[in-house]
Amino acid sequence: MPFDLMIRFGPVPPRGAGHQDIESVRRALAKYRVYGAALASNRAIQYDPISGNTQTADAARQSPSMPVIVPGAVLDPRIFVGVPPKPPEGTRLYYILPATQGYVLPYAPLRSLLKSMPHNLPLYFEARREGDATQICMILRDIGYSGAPVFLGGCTGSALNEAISVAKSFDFVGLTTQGMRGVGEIQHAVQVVGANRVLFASGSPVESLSATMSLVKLAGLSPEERAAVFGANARRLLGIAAPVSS
Amino acid sequence: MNTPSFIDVHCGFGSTVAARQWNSPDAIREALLQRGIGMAFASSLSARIYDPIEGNDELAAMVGTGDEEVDLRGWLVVHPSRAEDGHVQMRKYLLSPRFVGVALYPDPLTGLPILARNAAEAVTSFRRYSKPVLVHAPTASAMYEVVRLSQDFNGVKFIASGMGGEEWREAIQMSTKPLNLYLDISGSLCPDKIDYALSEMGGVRKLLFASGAPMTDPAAVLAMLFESQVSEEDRSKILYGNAQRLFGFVTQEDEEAPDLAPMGG
Repeated sequence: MPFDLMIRFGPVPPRGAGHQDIESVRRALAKYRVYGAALASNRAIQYDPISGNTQTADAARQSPSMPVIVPGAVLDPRIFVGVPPKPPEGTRLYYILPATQGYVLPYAPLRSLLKSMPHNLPLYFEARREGDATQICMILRDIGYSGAPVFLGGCTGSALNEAISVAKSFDFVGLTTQGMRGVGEIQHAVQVVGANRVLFASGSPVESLSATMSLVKLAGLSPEERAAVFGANARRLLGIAAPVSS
Repeated sequence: MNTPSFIDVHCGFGSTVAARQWNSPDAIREALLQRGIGMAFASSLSARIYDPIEGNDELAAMVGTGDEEVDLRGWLVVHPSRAEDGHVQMRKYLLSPRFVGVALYPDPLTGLPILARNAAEAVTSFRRYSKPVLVHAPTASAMYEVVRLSQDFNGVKFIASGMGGEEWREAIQMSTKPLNLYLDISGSLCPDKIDYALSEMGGVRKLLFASGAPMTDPAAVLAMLFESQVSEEDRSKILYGNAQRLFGFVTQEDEEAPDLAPMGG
C-alpha cells in the first residue's frame, strides 16, 4: 500500500482550498487507499515555520493509528538568524522548498542553516527548477554532509535528468515521484538510480494524488519495484511498520 | 471505433529522454490506447522548437489514414516569424482532414509567448480553412495574448493549451468571456483548477481534454480530472463531447457514452 512522502496540510492560498484539518487528510488517503503520509505545513511554507510546523505536528498526533500520519517540518532559510531550528516532537523529516518559497539557489542562509543543524533526519529538497539539483549537490558537498538520506522532488523533464545525475553521484541522494509527470519518467528514474532510491510522493492537494498513483501503476515496474517505490522505501526510511494484510 | 473514447486534443510527436519511443506512431498509439484514448491530435516537437517545415513533413508521414485503432491527426505548426513558409504548408496540408488546424508556440529561442500582434498575419491567412487555432499558453501572460487574438478574430475558434500553467487562476479569469476561446486542461496537475474553471466559466462547454504528452503522461491529466469534483456528465463533455462538436466530428445527437472507468491498473 502506498505511503505518500509529501501531503500539503492546511489551506492553500489564495482560494483556501486544500486540507483544512486532519480529517480531510484522512478522508483523502482512505479514498485512494493510501496507507499513510508525511505532512508539510502550508502555514509553515507561506507564513511562519514555527507555528505552522507545530500545528501540523499537533494535528498528526491527534490522528488515530490508521492511516499513519507523520509530521514533517518545513525549513525556511529566509528567516534563519543563526539559531538551529528545533523541530516539533515527532518530526520525521525536513522539507526544503526553494522554488515554492521563492528563493534562488545558491543561497547563503540555506548553507548556514544546514551547517548549523544536526543531520539526523531525512531532507526532502524541492528541485523543480533547472539548476537547483546541482546547487543542492554543491551545498551538501560544501558542508561535508554525511547524514540521513536526501531526496529530490518536484522534478520533471530536464530538471529530472539533472536530479538523476545528482543521485548517481551521491549514494545518499534519492528521488521522489512528486513532479515526475512525463511519459516514462518514473520507469526511467527507477532504471537509472534503482527502485530502492525512488519514493512515492504526490505534493497533494496542490498536485494530484491520483495522477501520481496512476503514473506509478503505469510505469511498467516489477511487483517488487512497485512495492518499494509505493511504500516499502518510505516505511524503512521513516521507521514505520508495514501494513497488516487484511 | 464503435465506442467513442477520450479525445486528446493536444499532444506531441517526438522523443524525450524518458519517452524514447514517442517518435513511433505505433508506440504512441499503444500508449494512448492503454490510457483509454481513441483519438489524439499531435504536433511535431521538432517543428515547435527547431524547424517547422521538416517537423510538419515528418508529422504528415505519421498521422495515418484514420483506419487505425487510435486515430492520430496532426496540428500544423506555424511560426509567426516564418509566415511565408507557413502559407505554403497550410496549402499543402490543411485541406486534408488528417490535419485539424494550426498550432502556435512560444518563441523557440527566447521562450516568449505568442504575441497577438505578431500572430495576426498567420491567423489572417489561416482563417479561410475554417479550422481551429491552438495557441500554447503556459503562463497567464501568454493567455492574455490568446484572449486578445480571439477578440481580434472572433470568427476563428481558438484553443488555449496549458491553462496558464501554474498561473491557472489568472488565466481562467481572463479567458471566460470570448465565446470563440476554448481551454484545454493540460498544464498544472492541480485538481482544484478544474473546479475553479467550472465555477468561473459557468460550465464546462469550453473545456477540452489534452495531455501535452510526452512531457505529461495523459494518465496524469485523466487522473487529475477524475479527482476533481465535476459530474460524470460534465467529465464526458471534457473528455470527448466538446471536442467532437468543436472539430465537427459528430452532431450533438450522435454522441454516445463511453466507458468512463478511472485510469490505473
